[in-house]
Amino acid sequence: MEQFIQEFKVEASGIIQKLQELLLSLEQDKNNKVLIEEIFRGVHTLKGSSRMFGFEKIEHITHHLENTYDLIRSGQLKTSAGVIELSLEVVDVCSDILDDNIDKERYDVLLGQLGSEEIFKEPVSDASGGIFQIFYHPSENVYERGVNPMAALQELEALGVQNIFQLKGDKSFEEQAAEKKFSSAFEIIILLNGEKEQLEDVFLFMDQNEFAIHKLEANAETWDEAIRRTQQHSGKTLDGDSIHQRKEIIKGFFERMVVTEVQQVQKNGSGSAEKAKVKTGDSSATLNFINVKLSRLDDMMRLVSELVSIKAELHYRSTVLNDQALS
Amino acid sequence: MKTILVAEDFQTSRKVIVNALTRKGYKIIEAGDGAEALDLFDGRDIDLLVTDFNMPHMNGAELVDAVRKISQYKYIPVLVLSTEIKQSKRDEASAAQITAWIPKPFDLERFIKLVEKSMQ
Repeated sequence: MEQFIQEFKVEASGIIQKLQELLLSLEQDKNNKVLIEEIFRGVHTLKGSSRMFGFEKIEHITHHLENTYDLIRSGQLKTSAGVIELSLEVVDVCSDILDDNIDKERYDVLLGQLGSEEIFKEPVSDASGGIFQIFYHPSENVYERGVNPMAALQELEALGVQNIFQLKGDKSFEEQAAEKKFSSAFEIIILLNGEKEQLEDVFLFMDQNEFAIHKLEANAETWDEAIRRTQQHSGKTLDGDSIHQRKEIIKGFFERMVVTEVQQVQKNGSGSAEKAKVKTGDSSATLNFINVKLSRLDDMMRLVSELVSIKAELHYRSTVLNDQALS
Repeated sequence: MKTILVAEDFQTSRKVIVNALTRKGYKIIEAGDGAEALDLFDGRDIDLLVTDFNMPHMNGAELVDAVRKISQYKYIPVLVLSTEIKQSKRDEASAAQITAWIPKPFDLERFIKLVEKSMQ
């Protein structure tokens, strides 16, 4: 048997090396179906043979990786930088397991990430500030999930200057709340005074199909796209006045943003080029920030919360032990 | 004062959650499994249900389903905590009409934020 295991290790190392090459190529060409198919097959083979030779840990983690690539090859999900990075790490961990050198903690973290949707999200390039067009249309039965749909609008108020348009629904909000049936839909144009994540947090209790957030560009030619979205969401063609009104609001917000930026640069003076410009709203604070990948931050938060749980458990156990000693 | 029912079979986790929520000034009712939680609903004024997904006797989804059938609690916000990563399990919970799914381990500060948000 030992001899077979050695042979398996050689074969598995070959597959792992091939997978690494394929993943690096996929990084350059994310939608290449041939590569995706080959990666899927490689992972599948690695899973099958590791099961045969009792490498359960490899089998388990590659099973999840295989599922991920199954979703990608069937077009249900798109390849993202996060997925490729995670795949490379998984392959790396498999290689460590073959060398009898497993890092249990890293293994568990990776396993957790494989099941999360976070890895499919593209990193946000410009996370702070900006002008956004938001569509908010909670489903009719939103109350049955225990969610108050109007709370999101109240929360939004704190995030910056905004204009709210009601696209659908003619019943009063009180009436909708009393009947527990929601029928309104909104469009919000907001000059965000904060991080984009704060904006996303507003809709934490909403399903993906109940809201959409679009960042607007300063280029006026792109605003027609925003108008087209409004027409699509409201199900009707906007008249000239409504179109003009929206464009004026967007233009006004962009002018306001530029003014704030200029004031900020003057305030900072030429000697403080290191300091970041505050791009939004009325905030006069000077921000110092560093760029950290969201996925890294997530990892850290996960680890910290795990530590908190462990600490609490230790504390609890020590309390129990003390009690026993006393009694 | 808002009242929160916390259903979690793992005692340490429950203690952590209960301590954090108590410090925030909430009144807490504790249950060690789904069936016990359902019994505790018994007409009390409860503003939020925080429940684990995997519990003996009655799991989180079954509990939410049963609670939503009681007219007094039909629209109560529900936060489901779980280490479960399988989509099928999440779908089971979503079908029972939950407010949010919180993967464990979670960050306490973030959790408190969700609790506050759910009762707005």
